[in-house]
Amino acid sequence: MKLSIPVISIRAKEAIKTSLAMVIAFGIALWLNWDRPYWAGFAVAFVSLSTVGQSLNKAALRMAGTIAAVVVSFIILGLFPQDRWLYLAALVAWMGLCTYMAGGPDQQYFWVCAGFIVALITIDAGPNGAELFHTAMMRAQETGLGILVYGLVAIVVWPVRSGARLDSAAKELIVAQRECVALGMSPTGDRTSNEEMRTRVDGLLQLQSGLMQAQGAAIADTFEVWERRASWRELCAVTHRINGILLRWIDGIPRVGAESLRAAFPDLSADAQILETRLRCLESILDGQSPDSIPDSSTLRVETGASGVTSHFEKAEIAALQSLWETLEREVSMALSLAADIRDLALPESTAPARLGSGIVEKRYPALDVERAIAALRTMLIVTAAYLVWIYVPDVPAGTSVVSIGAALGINLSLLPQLRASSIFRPVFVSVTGGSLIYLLVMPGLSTFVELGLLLFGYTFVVCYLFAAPKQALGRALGLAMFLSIASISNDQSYQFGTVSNTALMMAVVCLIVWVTESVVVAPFPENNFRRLLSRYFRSVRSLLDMLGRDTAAPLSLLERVRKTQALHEITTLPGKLSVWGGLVNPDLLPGLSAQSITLLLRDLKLLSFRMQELVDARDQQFSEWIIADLSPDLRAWRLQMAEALMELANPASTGDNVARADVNRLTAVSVENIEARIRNTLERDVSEQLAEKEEFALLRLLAAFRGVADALGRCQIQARPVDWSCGQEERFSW
Amino acid sequence: MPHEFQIAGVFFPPMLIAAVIGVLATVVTVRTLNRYRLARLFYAPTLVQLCLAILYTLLVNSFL
Repeated sequence: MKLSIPVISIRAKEAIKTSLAMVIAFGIALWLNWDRPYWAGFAVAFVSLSTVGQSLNKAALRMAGTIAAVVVSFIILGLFPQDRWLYLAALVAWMGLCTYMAGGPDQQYFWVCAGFIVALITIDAGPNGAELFHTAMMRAQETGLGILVYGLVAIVVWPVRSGARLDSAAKELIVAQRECVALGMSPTGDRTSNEEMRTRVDGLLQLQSGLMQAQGAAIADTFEVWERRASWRELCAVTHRINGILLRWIDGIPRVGAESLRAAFPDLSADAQILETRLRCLESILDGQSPDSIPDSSTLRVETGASGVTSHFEKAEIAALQSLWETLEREVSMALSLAADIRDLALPESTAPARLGSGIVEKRYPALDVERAIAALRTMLIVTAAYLVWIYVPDVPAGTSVVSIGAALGINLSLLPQLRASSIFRPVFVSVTGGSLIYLLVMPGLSTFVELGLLLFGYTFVVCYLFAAPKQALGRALGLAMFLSIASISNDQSYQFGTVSNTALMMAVVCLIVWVTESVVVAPFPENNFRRLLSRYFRSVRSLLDMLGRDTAAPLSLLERVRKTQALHEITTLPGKLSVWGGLVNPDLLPGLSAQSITLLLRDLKLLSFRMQELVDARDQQFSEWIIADLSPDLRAWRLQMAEALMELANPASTGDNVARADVNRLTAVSVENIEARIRNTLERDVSEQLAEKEEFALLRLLAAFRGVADALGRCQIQARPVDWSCGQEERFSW
Repeated sequence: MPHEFQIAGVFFPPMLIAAVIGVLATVVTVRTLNRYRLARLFYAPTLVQLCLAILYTLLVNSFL
């Protein structure tokens, strides 16, 4: 007779692990007779994620954030123990800083914890130094206990490691890149094929994002990955750069045309096959198999004077594509070498990577991020309001908790501006009601830790099981946190109705504060925010275009450097922020806009950013004076026309219907024709100056960049112009 | 003179009750204004609704 073992779903396993860790953490904290053992429970509830690595990463950030918060708490209360206004100023400034930093790309959870835990410790302890030290130490050690217990449970019970996920994510991305190479390097030239290629490149960006997440988790939970973490990080960076090159390549094809491309690169198909083979080898290496041989990287031969390639702009694009090819080959060589290092395989010497060129790298610019500053302002406003309510509203229920919970909710909601404050009402109500019922009806009947443990296990399991999806994280966090707060489990357990009513009223006050302050800094409507960010994006591009008109020989002033860095920061970060709001826009409120046009617009914005960075880099080159004298007037006119179009896109409502609008595509065609004629005349003229090879390349690069910006802008205009932006612009109340 | 507000034997701070009523009254007011497209007449509607909430709260509190 066979025993059938029931298969437990991953969801149930994760819920069991969290529940088990919760019971053990409470058991230890109660056994050691620590105050507020529910702080250990909070740590368990908030660090549990789907893999060991992700949980350990989050746990490390929570622990580091708690320690930082303890130190800052000592400093703030040490400096202002008796002055509540200076204390408030210091607390609010710290919370603002933490919110700003938490909105950045790295260590977000560290900053979140470092922020709200300062409010929690200092408000809870008050000006009493001994109490402050006790509270801070208790918080740190109980957080440490919760993290340690959950970490051990996650490692021992059904450990889900991320190493296999990282391998499959890397292979999936390489396969998708190889398919893109196959499609993009032998173009048919028709519109459908171009669209399919663009869609595939969009898919690459998603796969890259999955790879980055898996990499972070696998480094934390898989020893083999940890050993080779430098190579894995570099491999992820290389695949990211390859994505950028493919995006740029696919964008360049329509500008040259499939026929001209084949004429200019007669060996393109053969070279593309070699590249595909090299990518297949990369897949094999990642599978742990050493390929018999790896073809040498190909150098894409250009047929100078190829029939059909007469325009200088086509030549410019071809030169840019050849440069891209070289960079792509170098990146693939680097990827092969890194993969071999990761799998501990030896490669033939010829595949050793050459030094990487500039390539296409996503740069970060140290500038003020306006959206993060807005989030910081919102947190500061919420904390200030909560503090004032605590001081000035007589008998406000659970007064200190209004500030600490307000700070915790405030920092989290500020970082998710697209989440309406009203969306937390229902989860708060349900979790407070559920927690209260258990506290009042079930808990008084318990007399041993076994019974309490069963209750904790059951409640945690139900909440974690029902709210397992990442989208339900808020409901899960509130469900566990409210129950633990209300239950206030301790060795000297008592039951008071006041605990329930005070917690419920305190949450009502906090929700009220969060809701009332929601729209003070920026109205929370997706349509308004989408339009606001879009307008700022186009203004930033315009600002960069304006700066191109300056003399490159003269050094930039400090103000100009700041302006340039700010604009570059905006154009690199805003497309991502726009994509978040874009998914929430109601097309009914903005006639002419559809989900599809938003997707296309966002893609064109990314490309425009990319092209604009190329243009800024290309413009920094030095050119002979006779080139500048000959080409400047036309390039300047073209630039001003684009600036005018950008102005119209940035302020669509101010451009009336009867005003002649600048059509970028039409103007581009005229400008290209003019500049083409100008270059031909210049080169045919019997002048003593001859273009050096390096200068010719720089000139072609500049022309290609100009054309690229104009084309991308034209596409943005096609998507944005039919939209009636004025409909979503009308002021409304947000409640 | 200090006083409390009680519902079914549970004591509430009067300011809390006033704030809840004030915010509810503001919601009704601003939704009515939105419905008749009157929000466009205000320079900063978001600040107006905050001020309305404070004014309503103070008004209700003076009667509690």
